[in-house]
Amino acid sequence: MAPGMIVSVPTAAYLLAMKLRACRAPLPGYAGDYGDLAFLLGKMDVSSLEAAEATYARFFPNDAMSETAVEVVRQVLSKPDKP
Amino acid sequence: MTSKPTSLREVADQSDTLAGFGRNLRDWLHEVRHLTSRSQLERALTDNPPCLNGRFPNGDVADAWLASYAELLSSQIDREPPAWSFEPSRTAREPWFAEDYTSPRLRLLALLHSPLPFKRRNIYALNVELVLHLRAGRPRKPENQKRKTNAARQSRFRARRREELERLRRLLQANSASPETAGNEPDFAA
Repeated sequence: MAPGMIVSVPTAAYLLAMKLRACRAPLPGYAGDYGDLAFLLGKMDVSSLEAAEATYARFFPNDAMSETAVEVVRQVLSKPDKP
Repeated sequence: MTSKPTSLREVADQSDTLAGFGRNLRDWLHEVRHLTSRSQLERALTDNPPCLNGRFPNGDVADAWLASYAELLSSQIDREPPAWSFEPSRTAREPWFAEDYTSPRLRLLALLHSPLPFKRRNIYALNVELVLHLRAGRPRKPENQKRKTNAARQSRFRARRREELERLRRLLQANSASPETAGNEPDFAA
């Protein structure tokens, strides 16, 4: 790394909030944000929709999660083998 | 290494598998978000992409995605969708849902909210709309192109100054050679 270079790394909570906000569409052969959301929810040990909504509200206090994001979280949490 | 596709045709040209197509389409969508003029976007849509049905398994799905985006984005910029996007071959044979979206509610949402250009081609997908940042005036130029233009402008400026200086030197030499003005030349070095 070059001297003086500053690399900032976002927290998992911030990443999760951004992924929930974007919730990019899966394309053929590409899972969109679904895989990352599943990974982050597992990594942060988020076990309920309310907990995911609370994380989202920390960074986007004036917006509600989209219907798609809510359903994606529900689906990930309902899977027994979630990461 | 191939460069990022800049048009739907290039997305099709560079795709040999469905997964590769997905990556190329994602790259193209990323590029499209940076376009600022309608004409730029229109150029990215009008060229007829080769049919992918037959090139790899589920190529019909890829064809349907290309045509769907061509129609969706054309309507966003108030242009007629290209004729190729309505060819019968540009429709998926089976309804397409994202593999990971297995819950019935997610599929219901996709059935409800998939934009019409996608629905009519048997594609049921969520969050496919693009937010475009179009603006009036000339299309925005990429940074590397701006740097090239500035370098060329500076080069022309320096050439003109060199030419002027050369003319002054010749004038000075002519003056110093003349017996009437000898010794009166201005000191340019001062």
